[in-house]
Amino acid sequence: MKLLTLTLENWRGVSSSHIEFDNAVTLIEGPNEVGKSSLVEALRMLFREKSGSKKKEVQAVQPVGQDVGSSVAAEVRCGDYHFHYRKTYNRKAGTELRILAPRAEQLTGDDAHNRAWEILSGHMDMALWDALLVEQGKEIGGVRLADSDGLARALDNAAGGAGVSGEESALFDAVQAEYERYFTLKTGKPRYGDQQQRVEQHSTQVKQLKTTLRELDDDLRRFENVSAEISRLQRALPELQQAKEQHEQRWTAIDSLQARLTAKEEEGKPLQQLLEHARNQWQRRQDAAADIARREQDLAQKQAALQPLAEHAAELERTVKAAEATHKDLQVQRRALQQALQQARRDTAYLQDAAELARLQQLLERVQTQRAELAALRKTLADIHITAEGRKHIQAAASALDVASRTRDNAATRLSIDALQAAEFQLNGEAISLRPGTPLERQVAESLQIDIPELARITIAPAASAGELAAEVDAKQQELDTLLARYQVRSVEQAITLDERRADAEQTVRSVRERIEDTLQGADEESLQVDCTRLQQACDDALQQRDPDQPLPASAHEAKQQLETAGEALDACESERDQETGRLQTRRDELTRAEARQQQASTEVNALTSVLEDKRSSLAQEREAEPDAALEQVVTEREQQLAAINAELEQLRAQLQAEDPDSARLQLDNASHALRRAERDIIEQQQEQAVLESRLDRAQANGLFEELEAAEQALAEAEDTLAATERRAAAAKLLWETLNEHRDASRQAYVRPLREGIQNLGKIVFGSDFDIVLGEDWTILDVIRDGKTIPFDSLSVGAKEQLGILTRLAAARIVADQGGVPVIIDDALGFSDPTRLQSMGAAIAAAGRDAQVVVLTCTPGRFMYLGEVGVRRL
Amino acid sequence: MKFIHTSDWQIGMTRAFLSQEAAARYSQARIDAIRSLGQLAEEHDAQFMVVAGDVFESNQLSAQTLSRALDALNSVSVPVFLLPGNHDPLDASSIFRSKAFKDQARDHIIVVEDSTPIPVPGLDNVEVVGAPWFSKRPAEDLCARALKDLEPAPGVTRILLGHGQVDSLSPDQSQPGVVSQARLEQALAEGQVHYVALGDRHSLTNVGNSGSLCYSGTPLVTDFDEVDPNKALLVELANDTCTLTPLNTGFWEFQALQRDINAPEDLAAFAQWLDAVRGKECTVLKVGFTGSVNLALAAELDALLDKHSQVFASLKRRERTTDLAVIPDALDDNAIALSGYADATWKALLAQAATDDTANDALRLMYRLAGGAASEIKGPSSEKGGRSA
Repeated sequence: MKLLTLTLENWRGVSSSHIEFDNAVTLIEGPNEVGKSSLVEALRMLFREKSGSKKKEVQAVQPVGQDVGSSVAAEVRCGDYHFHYRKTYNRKAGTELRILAPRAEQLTGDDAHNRAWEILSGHMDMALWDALLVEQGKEIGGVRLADSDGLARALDNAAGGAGVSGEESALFDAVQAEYERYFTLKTGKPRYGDQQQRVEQHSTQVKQLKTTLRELDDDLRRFENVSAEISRLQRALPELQQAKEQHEQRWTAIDSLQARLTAKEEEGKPLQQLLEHARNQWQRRQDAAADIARREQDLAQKQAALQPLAEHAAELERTVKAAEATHKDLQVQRRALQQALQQARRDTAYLQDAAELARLQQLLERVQTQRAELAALRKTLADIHITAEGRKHIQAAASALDVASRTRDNAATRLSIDALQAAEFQLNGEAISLRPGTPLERQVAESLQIDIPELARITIAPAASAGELAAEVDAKQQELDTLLARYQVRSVEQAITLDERRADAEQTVRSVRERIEDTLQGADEESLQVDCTRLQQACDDALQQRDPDQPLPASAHEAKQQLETAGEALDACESERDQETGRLQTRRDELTRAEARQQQASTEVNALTSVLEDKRSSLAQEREAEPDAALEQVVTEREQQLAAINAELEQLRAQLQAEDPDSARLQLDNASHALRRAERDIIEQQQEQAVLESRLDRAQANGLFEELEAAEQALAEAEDTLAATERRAAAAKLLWETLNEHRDASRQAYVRPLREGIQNLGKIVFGSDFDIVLGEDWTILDVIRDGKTIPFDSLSVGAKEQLGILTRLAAARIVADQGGVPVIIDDALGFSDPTRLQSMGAAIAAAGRDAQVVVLTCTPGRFMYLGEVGVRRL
Repeated sequence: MKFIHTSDWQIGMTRAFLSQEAAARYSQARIDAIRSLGQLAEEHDAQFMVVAGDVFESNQLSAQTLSRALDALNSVSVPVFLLPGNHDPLDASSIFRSKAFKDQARDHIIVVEDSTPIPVPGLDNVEVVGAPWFSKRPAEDLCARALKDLEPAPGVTRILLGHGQVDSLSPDQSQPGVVSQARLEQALAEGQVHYVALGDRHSLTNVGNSGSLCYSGTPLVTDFDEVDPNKALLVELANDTCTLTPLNTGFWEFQALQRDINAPEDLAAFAQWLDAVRGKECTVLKVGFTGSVNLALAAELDALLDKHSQVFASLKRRERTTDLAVIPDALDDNAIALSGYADATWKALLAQAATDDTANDALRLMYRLAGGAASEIKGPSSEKGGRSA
């Protein structure tokens, strides 16, 4: 297809615009908003959208605020066709198609649209047309070429293929649609699950119905069996009945025999009792007679035994009396011996008491003497007042006085008079005779007055201190005097003497006391005194009580001997008496027993005699009433009667035995059981029959069979449908898969020419080592430059855009021979640098030699490097 | 004395190979056959009708089916003797003893419940002696048993009504219920009975040489292998002679065919044959194909069958006997003129199709989708039912 002209009226902001296109490259320049993009939009809409379209994008082309239709018109050459095509949208909408060649045609409305579409799509790959339109603002990088049949066809040519009819795409769509009828496109899951389900449902239903019918059939069969069994049993019943009756008859005969036997046995029973009774009577009579005889014998024996017993008792009595006399003698002898022993004991006691008394009296006398000595000592002590303490005090006072006196004397003026010759004089009135060699010395404690007769009176006065010392001496003297007075002594010497005397006396008292203690030896005097008194009394009493004629034993020893002798005599006597007492007791016991025996035997004899008498009289009475012979007669008669009956019984039993009642009974029982079992079986079977019958009644005319038939038919239909579907699905799947496989393979084959086309143009732009890797869907995966592989997505925006345009140009070149598709580039290459722009210009120009290229731009400088180009300015 | 001998009505029978619609008409046809038998009786002055067993297909029929059958039976103007057969034995679930049957059947409908001779109402000295089935598994020859207990009755014309295979025709003679042909012929020869009306064979069959021992066949065809169905017998007994007249009762047809298709002419002949079939809506066909065809012919055959299956009661391929090789040829290739990868696909499938049915199917599908003989490409939306026009 080649675009010749394009005219817009009232299209968005463009009131009118007319473009004439070059055969090769047309550059349309114009500032922004002048309507370049509207040209592209209008061109696209002209081919795609019907004039009556109410789409939003269609409505959007109406100029703002103007109530006018927007129209687009194009002159197009397409294969053999040359036509003018015009559409007005929105207001006064309409379509006109004026075909000039090969035959003139004039069409309007939808016919015009359809005819134009037919011509266009017949000569141009519309998918490729869309792909090669580079609209402003749309992503320009990736190009979807894969949907293009035209390109494929061209590539097929380029790849040297057998030629592509252009129908593959439609076939592919048809196959895919067919495949999608049976499977989901994405997961390949079958879509005919409902058919499978239907088959399953019907199959389940058929199975259930068949089961039900089979059960019904089973019921029927059982019913038949049960019915047959019932009639068999019913036929068997009379036979069983008859057998039972036969056995019953036989049994009845046996039964009557049995009855007779029983009756006879009953008859014998009272007779037997009577016989027993008679025998008892007779036996009792005989027993009574025998009893009496035995008793008589017994009594005679007992009576004979009585006499020896009495004799024995009398003998024993005599012995006892003798023993009693002996015993009494011994008793008397013992009493005398006891008295003698008593006396001997008393004598011994008396002698002991007397001796003790004498000892105690001696002791007491000694104590008396010692006590008198003690009293004398106490008297001495009573006259002495000084104590050891007092003596010490007095001695101390005397010593103090001595000290004071000496002190005074030492302090006093010492007067010494040596007589040259004997001289007499007076000193303080005291006459003193002095002799030569014997000096008089005095202390002048007080004023001394010496009168030398005739010669002179000399007075010597002590000094003043002498007075105080003298006073001290006086005080001490006084103190001493006081103490002496207190202790009633005259002098210090006496005090000492007296004190010593006192100490001696006190020592003596202590020794006397000790002696008394020794004498008493722990006893006290008073109790000794009491003992003496008591002993005296005892001795007196003993003497008084005693037979004066009897001499006292000479000594304690003698008394003791007497006592022992008496004791021995008594012991001997008592021993003898004890023996005698034992003997006596034994004899007495023997006597008692003998007497008891005699008594008992006698009582027995009396009792036996009495009983015997009773028996005798009783027997006599009975004999009088019924003599022995009569009793014996009755017994004999009864025995005879019984024997007759027993004989009859024996005969009956033999008969019964011959009839074999046990086996007869067994057979009868068996026959009855068999009959009963048959009857019971009939009832049971009839019950089951009834149950089955009611079940079968319900099953009558229930339509189960028809339901099964219908279900089977539905199943067959569903199975047929499913099988057909599965078969078709398998075919569709295989076709779809095979087709895809080959399509992919062919695409792979087409990759080479497209790659070469892009590479050729790319070399102009990117240099001679430029290469690319194309995917199966013809998108660029990688770019290779300078031997490096760069993923398409990693390229710069500019490079992506350049590659996008080159891809379109290459595609357009490839399809140029099959009618061609114009490439329209709207305001692109904004991201390219001048060098790149220059080479892109060369590439576009190169492509323009084969394909029609329209470039729209608001920046004319961008495409200044385009050489062969028709420039239009808007 | 004239009467109609019929049997094997098989009321309630359906056939799985029929579509629902056809099945309903077929069931109705069984009911209609009763009425037409009634009409035939009137037309030929038959005085009564005997049905020799298998009146009903089963004892377990729906109330609806039973009621409709009884309604048709009630409309028959002569006495009708119904013999319980192997399908509807007189067992505990017998349909003849159901309340619905008893309530609805009129007096002229006589169920043969034992072998006691039953005088035909309105006729002197004519009796029907039946040998009814009491279970699906008889333990003995029921006919022989009925004859054994039969008291002689001079001057009375007796018709024995029996059901089951006679030993001369039975494939399995060891079955205890097999009917002794000799015993029947003996009874006829001795004059014990004067006609034996048998049922169980669905094809009209004259047994032996007596001329009085017959299967009437079913009044409405039930299977493909039946020789002379859709018939009943008009029996006339007079002066020791027995005249038999077959009557047409049904118009359904079951046919099993085998066709050899190798060239367009064969297909054209088959198409002609199909066209010529009368009463297609009551015709059940199953056809086995043999031979070898190309895709175009296979598609034509598909189209032909598809077209006629709308008209016939049933038209099916006999898969068991079909051995039709579909081999694409140059004609096919020209017809669809594939190119590019489509052509490659075609060739690949073609190679596979020799051994793989699915590949064959895929080829045929591709052939159809690619337009077949017609050059126009059709989208799947224009295809209905998966068959090309």
